[in-house]
Amino acid sequence: MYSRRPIIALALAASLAASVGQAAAQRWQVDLAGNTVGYDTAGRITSASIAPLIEWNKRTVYATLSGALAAFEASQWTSQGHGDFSLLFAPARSLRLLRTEVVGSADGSVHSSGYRTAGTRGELRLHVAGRSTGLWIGGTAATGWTSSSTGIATAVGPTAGAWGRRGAWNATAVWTPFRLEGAWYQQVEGRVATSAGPVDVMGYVGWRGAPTVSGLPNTSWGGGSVTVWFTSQAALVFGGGTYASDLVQALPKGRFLSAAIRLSRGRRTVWAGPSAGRALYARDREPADLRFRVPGVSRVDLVGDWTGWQPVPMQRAPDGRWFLQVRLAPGVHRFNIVVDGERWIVPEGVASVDDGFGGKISLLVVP
Amino acid sequence: MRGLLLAAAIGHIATASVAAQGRPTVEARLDPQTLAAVRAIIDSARRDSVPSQVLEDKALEGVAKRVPPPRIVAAVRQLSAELRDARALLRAAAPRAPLADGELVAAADARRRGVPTAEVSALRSHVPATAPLVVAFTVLGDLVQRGVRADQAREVIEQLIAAGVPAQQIADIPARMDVGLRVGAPPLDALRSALPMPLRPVKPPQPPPKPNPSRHGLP
Repeated sequence: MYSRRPIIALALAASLAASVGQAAAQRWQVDLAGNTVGYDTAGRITSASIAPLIEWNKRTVYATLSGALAAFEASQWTSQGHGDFSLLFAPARSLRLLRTEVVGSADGSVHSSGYRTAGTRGELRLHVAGRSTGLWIGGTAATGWTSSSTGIATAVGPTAGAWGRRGAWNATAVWTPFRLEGAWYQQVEGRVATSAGPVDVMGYVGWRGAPTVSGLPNTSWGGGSVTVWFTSQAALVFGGGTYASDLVQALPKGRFLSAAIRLSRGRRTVWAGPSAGRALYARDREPADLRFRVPGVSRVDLVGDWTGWQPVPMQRAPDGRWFLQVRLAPGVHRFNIVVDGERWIVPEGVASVDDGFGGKISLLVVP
Repeated sequence: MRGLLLAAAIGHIATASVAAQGRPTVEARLDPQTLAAVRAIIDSARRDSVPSQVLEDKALEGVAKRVPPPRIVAAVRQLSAELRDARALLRAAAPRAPLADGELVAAADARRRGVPTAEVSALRSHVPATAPLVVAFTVLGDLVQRGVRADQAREVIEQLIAAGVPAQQIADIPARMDVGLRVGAPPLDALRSALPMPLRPVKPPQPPPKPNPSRHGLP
């Protein structure tokens, strides 16, 4: 879990999280964790770690910067850093169903023994995306370096993937065969995530087939995490499983168990809709049926000008959405929803304006 | 199931409770000093035909959000100024058109969402005076926030109104446009594919006016 991240990135991530904070990053989190990691070659190691992460998520740009500093027994330590960047754009005006994604990432790690690793990865994807399913194909190239190697390892290969979303469930499958040092490897990975009340659950599996000439065995891995939010900004995270060796950066396969306290600016939603919300429009002289998807919360209240800004509880529908029927006078109405009795937010996908108090307020129009 | 029924019961109780109590008033929710400041702003706004209920609602919103009283007064004053500006703008654009409170609020919201003053004014003046514009102003804000140039968005809305497209169909456009945006279509293409009817091409962008050399350095 915390296995691929340099101390510079850790410091950068921490300082960015502190100084840039809410103005620029859409979300940040810090995990304070206790971990045990087992390696076939080095036995089991216990560590304590701190792992900050900041995330920007706009409609066409997604980026994260994360780091981890872990202290082991006998004053040993390791620091790791990781950065991701993704840019989505339409390749041509005449190809409206397609979009192109450029993905880049960089990793690095430093160990107290002086051992260092670094890696980069670039990928170009061509997506066909619908509202709840999508496919992509593309190509990828990765490089890796370690302080004990004499050169840089390079892997290239095609990639293909599919994703789907239903309710609070979100699944992705990726096929990434790659050619490394003259031999082809097959690799498939899958990931499923969902939210239910204050609990987020994520699971993953993977398999890699190694060619005979490599002398390496086929390998599989799998694991997951459970995140239990006890306030809107704090959670307990339990993780466990196995992860694959990194052939490009020469990092070993491992087994891990971890328990962490997560402090976060807001909970990550399973699905983020279009970043530009739209005003809600009720039908003239008909009750407005307000339905919002607010994953992973236990209570949602509606507050608006028509309630005199007094909270009215919304009800949870069988599909997981929260709903309330209201009958309103014609005009422009303003409202918020209050999550778990404390967070005033604009529902996902709904247009908002500044409320004049440093927050946002949603718009509902009755013609 | 029991949980759902319980939630439903609680919901009805809470709704009934709010309805029974009626809307709270600023007199009941604000301390005397804040009330005096807010009342003065509201009375002044009312004299200028600016809707006062919206301002009272803003004060109640501030109380509900536990905002310090000075910020409540500042927000009410700011909203009053925006509504007053919007009223002057719409009045100047169409002096004889009836001006509903909802249109005033929608125009002010459109400005807050990044629609230039000139486009709000042009939309009011280019459509018949009797055409209600609450939905039109709000959709204009939706389109601009989706990356459509304000003059192009305004021209599309004008054409739809001129063609007699009902407000409800115009209101559906931003949601339909999101389908195109999700698959990476440029904003104007996504807008075109979301329209309920084909329209004539919107005007290409106008070059900025050239400065008149003879005016340089002259009073």
